[in-house]
Amino acid sequence: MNIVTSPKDPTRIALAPSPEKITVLSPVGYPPKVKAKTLAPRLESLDGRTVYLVDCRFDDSIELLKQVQTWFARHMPNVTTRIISLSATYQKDDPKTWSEIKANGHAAIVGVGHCSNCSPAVATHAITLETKYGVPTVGLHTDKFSRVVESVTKMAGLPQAPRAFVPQPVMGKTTVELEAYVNGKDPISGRPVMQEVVEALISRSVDNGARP
Amino acid sequence: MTTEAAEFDHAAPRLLDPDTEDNLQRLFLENSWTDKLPIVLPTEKRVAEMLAHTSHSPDEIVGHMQPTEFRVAWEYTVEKVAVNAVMAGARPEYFPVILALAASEVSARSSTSSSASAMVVVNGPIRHEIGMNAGVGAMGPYSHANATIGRAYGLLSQNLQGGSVPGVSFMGSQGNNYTYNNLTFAENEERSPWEPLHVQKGFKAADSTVSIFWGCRSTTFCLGLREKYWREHVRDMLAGIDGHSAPCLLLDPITARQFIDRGAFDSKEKLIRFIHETGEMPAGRYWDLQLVQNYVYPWATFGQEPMATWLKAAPDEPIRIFPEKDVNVVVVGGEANGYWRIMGCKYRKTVSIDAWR
Repeated sequence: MNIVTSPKDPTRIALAPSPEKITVLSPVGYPPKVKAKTLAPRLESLDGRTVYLVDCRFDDSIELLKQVQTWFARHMPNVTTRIISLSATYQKDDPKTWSEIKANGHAAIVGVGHCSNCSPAVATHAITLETKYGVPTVGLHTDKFSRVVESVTKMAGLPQAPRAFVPQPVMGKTTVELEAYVNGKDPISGRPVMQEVVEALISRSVDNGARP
Repeated sequence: MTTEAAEFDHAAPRLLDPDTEDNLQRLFLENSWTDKLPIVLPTEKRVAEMLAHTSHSPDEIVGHMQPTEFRVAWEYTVEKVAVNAVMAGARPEYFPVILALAASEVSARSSTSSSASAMVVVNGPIRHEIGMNAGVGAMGPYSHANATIGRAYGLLSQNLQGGSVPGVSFMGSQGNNYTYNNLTFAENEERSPWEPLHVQKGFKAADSTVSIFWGCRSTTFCLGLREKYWREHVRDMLAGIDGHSAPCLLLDPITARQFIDRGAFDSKEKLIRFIHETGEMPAGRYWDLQLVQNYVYPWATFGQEPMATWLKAAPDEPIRIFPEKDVNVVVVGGEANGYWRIMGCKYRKTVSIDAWR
């Protein structure tokens, strides 16, 4: 029972009935059960290794990956990099490309996740390389999609999937601007983008997902 | 692809904790279970009334839905669809239509950053049984059935696919006002000079169906067909439809008959062929469209036709950018005048309503 004060006479009080409580059904569907996955073993070092830069073919993804390739040439010349575009659009799984990377490479960077569909796709392709092909992989996205990536990797059972972010947008940016993205800091973590990427591929910094 | 071998968690409580109407309205709003408008609270009595209008069991799995490819799909039952139908204010007799929409597994809350909307066309006897509008104002808020069925489609999509929350599970950069009721209307079969949409899609005229289109980001509009330049005017309208989408002609019956008068298109197929032949663009300009680069060019390089052949065209050579199979025609409107429009959207599927009665 609620006690309310009359607005006309604050000294008087009146008793009002409690609002009735009702029962309703939940409108939410049933989520899939999440099965935990683990990362591929990390490399001791990238020296002398081949890193595939996987272009998801959305907007100007390949232009950013060219700047990643330039960064490796300047800062880690002992690393071989190969840019490879997906066989079709990012909307399809691409076993042919994954097999080539597995056969001829040691690590991968998949990018760029910078749209509502391609960001989940980039995250998923990276998880495929990690868990089905055993290739250490980093997903490269723009910052606008950080929560999308968080959600997708969590529901895929690999919330620790390595990722790095550059500013949005990539589309239409000049070579100089994209170079600055790659040489700059991850807007989400505040750490240098390429430091994050390299450390995620080698053993000393990555949580492999093993839980007690 | 994301539903393969998936198991689903049905452990969540069926009922929410009892509370006052005001508090429950607030709860639904704050949990992003609404379209930000007040809803009808899904009490057990209301949900039971909804369920009484289908022969299907409340526990039957209707389908799986996801906000985009590469995001996990969630599962839902007949009862879950009923809950969302109640929330939208739908009458129980509309329920088979809403179940058919849910069974399509096409989300009306796609996360696409392009801000797409679904468009729903209802055909067959059900239109009259539940009072759907195919005439004056069919695409506006002038029919309880049109309004609430379309709203239910949106609500069930967001709640049964695991959410539609900006920044997480919805990334439509500008949003799309059509998604309030997903352009839900009935085809004006009685005033159309052609066979109805669902017959084109392989159903019988006596069947009741929902057809779902998707896109609805570009629209062009015109009044009638002038004698001298009608072909050119149509060409101009088609130039306004994004090259990655497809034209769906939404014709008032007056204009449908005028297409027969002007072009002798005595079937939808003949009109569709004319649209295909008219929608041209120089190859160089077409391939430079960003969406074409993203979604068409990769398939062309993969050898998929007709795009692979288009790649061989010289930059100035016109190519017909809308394949016949992607062009659709629907007759809707009340003959207040011969206005018509072209909606840029792709056909997804047609689902039987009768199967959900």
